Amino acid sequence: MTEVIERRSGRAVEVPFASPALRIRGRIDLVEFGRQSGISISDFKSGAVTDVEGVMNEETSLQLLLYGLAVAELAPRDAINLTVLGQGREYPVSFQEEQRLFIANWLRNVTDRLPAGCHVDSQPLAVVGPKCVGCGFRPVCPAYRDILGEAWKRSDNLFKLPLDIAGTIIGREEEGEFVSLKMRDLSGRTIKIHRLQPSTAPPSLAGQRAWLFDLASIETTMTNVGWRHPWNFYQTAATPQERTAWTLRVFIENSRT
Amino acid sequence: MESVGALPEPLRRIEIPTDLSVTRLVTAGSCLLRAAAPLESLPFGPSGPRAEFGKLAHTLSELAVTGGLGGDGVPANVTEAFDYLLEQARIRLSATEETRRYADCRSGSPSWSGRDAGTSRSVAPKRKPRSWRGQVRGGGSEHPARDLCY
Repeated sequence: MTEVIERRSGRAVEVPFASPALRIRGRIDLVEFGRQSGISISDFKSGAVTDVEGVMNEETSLQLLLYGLAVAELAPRDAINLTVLGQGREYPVSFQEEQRLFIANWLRNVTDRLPAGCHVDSQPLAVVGPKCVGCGFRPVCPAYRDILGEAWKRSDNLFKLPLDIAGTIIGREEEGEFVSLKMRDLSGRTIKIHRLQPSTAPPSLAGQRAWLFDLASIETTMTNVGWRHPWNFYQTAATPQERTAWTLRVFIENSRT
Repeated sequence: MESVGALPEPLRRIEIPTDLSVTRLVTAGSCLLRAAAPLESLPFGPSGPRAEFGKLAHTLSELAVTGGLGGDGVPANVTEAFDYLLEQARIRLSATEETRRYADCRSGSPSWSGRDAGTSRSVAPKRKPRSWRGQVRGGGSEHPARDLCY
C-alpha cells in the first residue's frame, strides 16, 4: 500500500495493507488516483450491497470505513473517497470527520477487548446469535456447541439458528441414489435428514453420534413466538428452486470428545 | 469415498493475534471469537457454488477495471470473458470429487436467475412451504407468513 500511495498515479488492484497502529490488515480491491481528487478506494461486491430499502449493509460500510481509516493513516493530508461497486452501480460511502471518529471508536472498542498476544479462554469471546449462520467456526465453537441441545427444544428462539443438527443416528435407509438418516438429536427430538449423498452418510454412520453442519430445510420455522429448529433437513435439492446444501460437513463424535 | 471426519475438539484457549483481518472483523458482529480465532482451527469444508461464483464475479470486475480483458487468453468482450471464466472454474472444480457436483457454479446459486455479470441481488424468492413424503411427525410448517430457509 505504501508503494501505491507514494507513486500517486494510476490504479492498483488487490492492494494488501497492514496497520500496526490500528491493528488491522486486509486487501483493498481497487486503489485509484486521479478519478476524483485524492485517493479512491473501491470494493467489488458480487452479492447484495443494500437491503430492500436501499440502505447499505452494515458489514459493507464498516469494511469501507476501516479501509479509509487505514489509508488515512498512510496519507493523512489526502482526501479519501470510498466506493462499493456492485449490483451494476457505484455506491459512495461518506468518509467525513464524523465517520472517521465513529469508525476509530468502533475499532478501538473491539481491539481493547482483544489484547494482542494474550492467551485467553475462547468461550467468553463467543457470542451465539444471528451471525452464527455463515460462520465456519461453528464446529469448534464451545459456546455454540453448548447451547444447541437447549435451543433445539425451544420454539421461541430469538433468532434463526444455523441449519445444523447433531445426535445419535438411529436409522439409515438407502432410497435410490440417496440415503436418509433418522436421528435422536441433542435435545431428544427425533429428526430426519433426507437425500444425503452416500459419501456423506456411509453405513458406518449408523449408531454413531454425528454432527452435520450446513444442511438445508424447506420447513418454515419462524413461529408466532420465535424460531423453531426444523425436524426435517436435506442435502440435495429435490427441485431447481430449492437450495442444495453444497457446504455440508459431517463429523463423527468420538466418545472422548 | 467417504467425506466424514472426526468432530474437532472445541477451541478452549486462543492467542489473540496482533493484526486483525478487516473482513473477519466486520462479518463477526459482536462475536470476538470469530474475529480473532486462528484460521488453522477452521474445519475444512467445501467452498460451495456461491463462493465460487463470487470469486468469479470478483475476478471479472478486476479484469474489467484494470484493462485486463483481452489479455492472457481472456476475451475482450465482457460476456465472452464471463463465459471463459465460468469454463475455467468448471475445469478446476471438476478436478476433485468434492467440488465436481457444483463445477457449473451458476447452477448452484439459488438466485442465479436474478443475476448477470453486473447486477445481482441476494433476495431469495419466497416459496410456499410444502410437505413431502417421509417427513417425520411434527415437522410441518407452523407459520406460512415467512420462509426463512436459507
